[in-house]
Amino acid sequence: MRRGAVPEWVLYLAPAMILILAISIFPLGYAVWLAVHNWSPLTAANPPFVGAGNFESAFNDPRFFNGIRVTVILLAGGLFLQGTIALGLALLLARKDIIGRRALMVIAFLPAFINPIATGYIFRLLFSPQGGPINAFLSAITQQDINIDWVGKSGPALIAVLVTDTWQWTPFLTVVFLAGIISIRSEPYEAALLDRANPWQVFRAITFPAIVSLFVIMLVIRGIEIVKLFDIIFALTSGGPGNATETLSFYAYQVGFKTFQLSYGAAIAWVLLIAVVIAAMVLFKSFGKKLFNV
Amino acid sequence: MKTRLTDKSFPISTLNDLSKGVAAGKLTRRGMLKGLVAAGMSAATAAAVVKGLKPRKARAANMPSYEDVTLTLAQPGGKFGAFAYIEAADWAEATGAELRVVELPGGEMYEKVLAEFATGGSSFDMMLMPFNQSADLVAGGFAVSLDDYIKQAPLSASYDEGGVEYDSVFPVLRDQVIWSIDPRTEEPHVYHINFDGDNHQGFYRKDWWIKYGDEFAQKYGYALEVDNAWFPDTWPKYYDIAEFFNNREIDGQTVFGHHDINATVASPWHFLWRYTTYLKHGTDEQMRAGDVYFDRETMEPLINNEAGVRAMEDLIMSSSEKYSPPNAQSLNWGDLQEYWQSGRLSMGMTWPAMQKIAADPGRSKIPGGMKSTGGFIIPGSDEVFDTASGSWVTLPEIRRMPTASWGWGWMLASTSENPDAAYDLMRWLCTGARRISIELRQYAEFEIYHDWEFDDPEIAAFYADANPSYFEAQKQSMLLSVPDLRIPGQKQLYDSIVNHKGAALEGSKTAKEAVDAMAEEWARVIDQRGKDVLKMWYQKTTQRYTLS
Repeated sequence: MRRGAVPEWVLYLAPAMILILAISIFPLGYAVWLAVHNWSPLTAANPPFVGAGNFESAFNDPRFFNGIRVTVILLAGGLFLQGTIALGLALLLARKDIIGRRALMVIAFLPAFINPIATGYIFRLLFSPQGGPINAFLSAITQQDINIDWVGKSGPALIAVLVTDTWQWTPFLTVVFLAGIISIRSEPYEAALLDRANPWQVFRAITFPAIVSLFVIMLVIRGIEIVKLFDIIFALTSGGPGNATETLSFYAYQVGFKTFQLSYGAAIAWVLLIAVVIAAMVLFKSFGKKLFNV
Repeated sequence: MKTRLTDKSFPISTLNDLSKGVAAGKLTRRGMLKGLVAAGMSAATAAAVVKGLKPRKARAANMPSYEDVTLTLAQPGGKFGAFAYIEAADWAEATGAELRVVELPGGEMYEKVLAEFATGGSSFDMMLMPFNQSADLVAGGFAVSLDDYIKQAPLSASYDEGGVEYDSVFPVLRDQVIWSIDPRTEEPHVYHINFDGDNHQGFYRKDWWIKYGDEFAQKYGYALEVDNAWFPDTWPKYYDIAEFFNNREIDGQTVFGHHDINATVASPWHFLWRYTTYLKHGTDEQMRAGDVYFDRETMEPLINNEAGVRAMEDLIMSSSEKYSPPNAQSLNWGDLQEYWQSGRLSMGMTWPAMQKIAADPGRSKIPGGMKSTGGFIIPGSDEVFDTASGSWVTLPEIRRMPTASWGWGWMLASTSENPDAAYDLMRWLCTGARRISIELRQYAEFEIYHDWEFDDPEIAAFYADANPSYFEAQKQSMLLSVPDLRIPGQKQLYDSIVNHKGAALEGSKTAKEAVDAMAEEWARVIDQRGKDVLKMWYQKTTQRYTLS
C-alpha cells in the first residue's frame, strides 16, 4: 500500500460510519451542546454558554426528582408484572394440550401491533370514571358500586399507566419467552419425568435456567423502553393528576417542547441516558458471566 | 358605515354547514373539498388553498387588489377556524389574493407557532394567537408592531374607511391585552388586532331556578334572583346553589350542581378567579391592570399568600361530590360542555359561549335553548387578604374581580412578505358584517368585543332569549376583569398552576403545599429566564396604554 493512501477497509466502512454519525452520534453531540447552553426561541441565534448550569437546575428541581420517582415505580412495577405474566403465559402456551393454542398465540400478540398513542386513548376511555367499562366490570364482579377516578387520582393513575403498558407489551415478551421454551430440547424433560419431578421442580431446574439469558435480556430491553415511556402517558394521563405520572422522559418533553427550555430538557435527557447506561453496565457486569458464559 | 351580511338563508356555522352550502349551490364543490381537507389535516402539515370559494355577498367598496399575493394564515382548526373558509375566502375572492390556511390544534398554538419561528421555518404571514401567549413571539422578534398600520386611519374608522374600528373595542382588550413590549426598545406597542372578546362568567339553568326558587328560598333564606347578572354575589351563595341542585332528580335524570374545569385548557382560571376574589394588592385599578401575580419590584410570586391558599381550599371543597359530579378533580373543558349541553348541569363558570351552546340545536338538549339559561358575573367577596398589611380586611361592599381570560387576536408575522395584504385581511375579519357573521353563525367560539355589537339589532335579536343577564354579565365582566399574565414564559407559569392544582385536588398536596410549590416553580422560572428582563415585562404589561 502506498504511504499516505487511505486503507481500503476505511472506504468500505465510510458510508455506514457517516450514516451512523449523522443519525446517531451527531444528535447526541448536539444534545450535549444544547445542555451546556441556554437555548430558547429568544436566544436561538446566539444562546449563552451556561456550563453545568442546566444540570445544577435539574438537581434543584423537585419535578426532576418526582420524575425519577415515577420512573422507578413504573420500571419496578412494569418489569415485575410483565415478566411474571409473560412467563406464565409462555409456559401455558408451551403446553401442547391447550385447545386453540395457535389462535391464542396470534390473539395474544395483537396488542403489540397497536400504536401506543392509540392504546393510550383506548385505555383512557376504558378507565373513564364516567361510565367506563373497567369501573363497570369491577362493579359487576364485586357487586358494589365501584367508581374509581382512574386518571384523576395519583395512585389509580399510576396503576392505569402500568396496566396499559403491561397490556401492550406483555404479549411481546410472551412470544419471545415462548420461543425460548419451545427451543429447549426434550431430553431433560424426559429425564425429569422418570425422576417424578413436579412441575415447579421442572420449571426451576430445567425451563428457567434454559431461558434465563433471554429473560434477563428481554427485561433489560423492556426496562429501557419503560424508562423512555412517553406515548401512553401522553394519551392516557398527560403526566397528571398534578405530576403523579410524569416520568423523567415526559418531563424532559414538557420542558423542551411545551415551554421551549430546550437546553434544560436536553440536560434532563442526558441525566436519564447516563443513568440508563450505568444501570445496564452494572447489570451486565453482575450477570454477564452467568448469562453469556463470558 | 358597516357592511352587513343579511343572507339568513345560508347560516354557515360550522364546517358541517359547508355541505349545506354545496347542496344549495352557493359554494363550489371544489372549494368545499378543499375546506374539508384542510380541516382534517394535522398541525404543521395542514395547509389548504382556499382560493376558489365563491363569495356569497357583494362586498365593501374600495377593496384593494392583491392579485399576485399569497397569504399564509396560522390558526386553530376545526369549527373554530371555519371563518377562514367563509369570511376570509370572501376577502380572497374580492382582492384576488390566494390564501393558505395552516390549521393547528387550538390548545397547541403556542408550541407549534413558536417552533416554526424558532427553527427558522416559518412561512406565516399572520397568526391567530391567544393574547396571553404572545409575549414569547414578540420577545423573539417574530411579530411586528401594528401601531403604524392602525394609525393610518382615524381610530374610529370602519373597514371601508381604512380603519379597524379600534376605538369601539372594550377598554381592557384595546388598551392592554393587545399591547406587548418591543424587546429592542422596551417600549409598548400594539401587536394584535382583536378577534375575540373572551372573559369568564357564570351560566345557569334559569328554568330550574324558577321552578325550584321557592324551595331554595325556604332552605337557604334568600331568593334565587333570576335575570340578575350580579347574583350570586358571593362564593358561599354560589356554593349554596351548587349544593341545592347537586344530585337532584330533574326531568328523569340526575343533575349536578356545578363543576370546575380541573384538567388541561382553562383549568388555571378556576384557581385564579378565586385568588383575585380574595386578594387585595394595591388599588382595584392596579389589580384590574393585571398586577396580581408578582411583587412588581422584587418579582416574588404572590400566589402563595393567604388569598391563594383560600382560593385553593375553595377549589378543593367545591370539587367534592357535595357540589359537583363524581370525580370532578379530572373534569375538563369538554366534560363541562358535555354536562351542560346534555342538560345535567345547574350552573358553572367559563367563557360566555356556554349560553350560545344552549342555542345550538346540533348539540344542546336543554329544553327551550338559550331561553332556559342566564348569565352572571363571577362572584366576589368583601373579605380580602391585604398584601400591604398581611392580614384579612373587610371591604365596605362586595367586590367583584373576574378575569379576562385568554382571548384571541391576529398577529402580523415578521416573516411576512406581504404585510399590507395581511393587515388588510385582519381588518376585514375583525370588523363590520364579518363580526356579526362570525359571532352568530359560529356557535360557541368567538365573543363580542366591540361596544357596537351589543346594540346591533341582529346580535341583540340572537341573544334576546338569554338577555338581559347574558349581555350584562359580559359587559360588566369586561369592565371589572383582571387580564392574564402576559410576560415571556407565561405558558410555563400557567402550566405550573395546572400541575399543582391537580395535586391539591387529588389530595397528594394540601392547599398550602400546592400554592407554595407553584410559587417555588414560578420563582425558578423567573430566575431561569432572567429576573430583570421579566420584571421590565411585568411592569410594562400591567399598565394600560393609549394609541396616539
